[in-house]
Amino acid sequence: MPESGQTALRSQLPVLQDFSSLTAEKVVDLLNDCFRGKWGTVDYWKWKHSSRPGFRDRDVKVYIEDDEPIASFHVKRTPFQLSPGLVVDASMEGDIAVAPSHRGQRLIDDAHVAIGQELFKDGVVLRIGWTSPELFERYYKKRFGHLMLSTPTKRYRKILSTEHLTGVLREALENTTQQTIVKRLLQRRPLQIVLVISGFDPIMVSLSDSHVSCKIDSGAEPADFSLSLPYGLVAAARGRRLSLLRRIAIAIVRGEMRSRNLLRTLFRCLADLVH
Amino acid sequence: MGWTARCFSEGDEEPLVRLWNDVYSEYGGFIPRTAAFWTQHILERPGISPEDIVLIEYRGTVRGYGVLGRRGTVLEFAVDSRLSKRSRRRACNLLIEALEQRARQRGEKYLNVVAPVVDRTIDQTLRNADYACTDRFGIGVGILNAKRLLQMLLQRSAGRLPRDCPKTFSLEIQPGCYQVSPYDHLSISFSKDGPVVDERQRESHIDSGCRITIDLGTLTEVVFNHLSFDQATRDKRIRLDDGSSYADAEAFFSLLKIDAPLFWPPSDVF
Repeated sequence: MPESGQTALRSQLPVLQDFSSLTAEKVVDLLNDCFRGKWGTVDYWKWKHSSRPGFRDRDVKVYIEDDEPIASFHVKRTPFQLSPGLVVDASMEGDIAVAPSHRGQRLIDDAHVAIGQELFKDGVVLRIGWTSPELFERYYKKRFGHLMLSTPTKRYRKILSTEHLTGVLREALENTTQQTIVKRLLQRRPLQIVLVISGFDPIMVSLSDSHVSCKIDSGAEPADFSLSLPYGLVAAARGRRLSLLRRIAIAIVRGEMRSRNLLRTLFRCLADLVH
Repeated sequence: MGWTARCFSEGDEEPLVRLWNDVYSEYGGFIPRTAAFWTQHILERPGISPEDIVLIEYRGTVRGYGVLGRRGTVLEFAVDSRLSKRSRRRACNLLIEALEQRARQRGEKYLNVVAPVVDRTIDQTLRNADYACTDRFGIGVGILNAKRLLQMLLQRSAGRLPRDCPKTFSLEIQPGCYQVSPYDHLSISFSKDGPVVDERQRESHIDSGCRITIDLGTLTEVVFNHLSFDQATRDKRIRLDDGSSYADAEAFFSLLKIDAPLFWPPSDVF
């Protein structure tokens, strides 16, 4: 491999090593430390890496200091179809973790180069990785020149639990209540609303100019008005405005939206604003 | 007996793998499944039980399946693409219902289904079932071996090179933001035996009619169809030597484009 573009590992830094000298537990501890405890278990790591068919110790690279891993990098070599009939050797790279105490030392950059040289010798043509857009912009694009592919792969989500729905609603309402007109209205008249969303328990929403709360309705507190609506409206509210309007129209035509005391409350609110 | 939903049982591996390969083999990013691969990849995945794998059958033939993974994410979601639109919608709805039921049993907060938006039937069925399209999945890609990649791309498309184009091209490749850029210069020659991509020393003379300077990042963007040749030349990210023809270079780069839609399921995310 020609020398251009290569970065020599600096002597003061620990040396990048193959996994064999470490236990899986220590690598998983590092991953969980770096991913706020959410990375996963040792069993999961073994399934994903060391027990995978074709795994070689050099597919996991680590920097070690005082017998503890301070950074880890994981690779999987795989055939990758670019278009029907066109398959190239590729490396998938991920589970990159650098202990907070060793960040800013260019460990990722050095490992990226060293692993790249090894993969090149192995005949790998493309390097692939899944990452958050933020990390991609910071590292893979600026530092490594990689490209984030735009693809038709999309994620479709539906909320299933009332607890989670209340959290999503609270977040959305907190943003809405920051708008000046809404804030003024709520200063004069805090509101208690019962939302009955199809497929979920009724939710009591309490709105004031400084506070938003959403909780499963116990039926004990009186409400200014109640509103029944299909879940599809909540889903559409997170998308484009046109989709939301279309969904509202469908809900009205189908008779899926019902309210009690809504108009009366609206008039009172307007009257409060006028006076 | 018409449509039914059931959980995975031993012996289902082969029909599931066949279905997956039928549905997704035309996409870029496709990793072909075998029963052994699928068993390790899905069945032996920690946290997955047979109850998390839902099959939709029509008269005893598997027409769709889904695998519920961690945090309500459906790892694999496939509905037979040979079915009529109406039957696909039906199979898709049944599959969603069965996966939602399983997710509720497991106490999941939500269900995430990942699918290619270009599959209009699945896209519409999910939207009609009140699924919000939250985001696109991002995959980062970098070229490690430009010589081999160009060789493979040109082998596929060399026949499309116009007859009046020069038969030799010279690429000076600058690293750009890449930290690993093994080739500085490549020469590409087209003969009756096919295209040959060779490493070339900077100093060596080449009697090429078309000499091009490009950085590896720009090459990545052009190959993966993110940047047109026209735009790249206007931005001076692709430069032609004096005497090299714009039309020849454009024809050359058109041979390198990959335009198959890319799809990968969460089960393949590394």
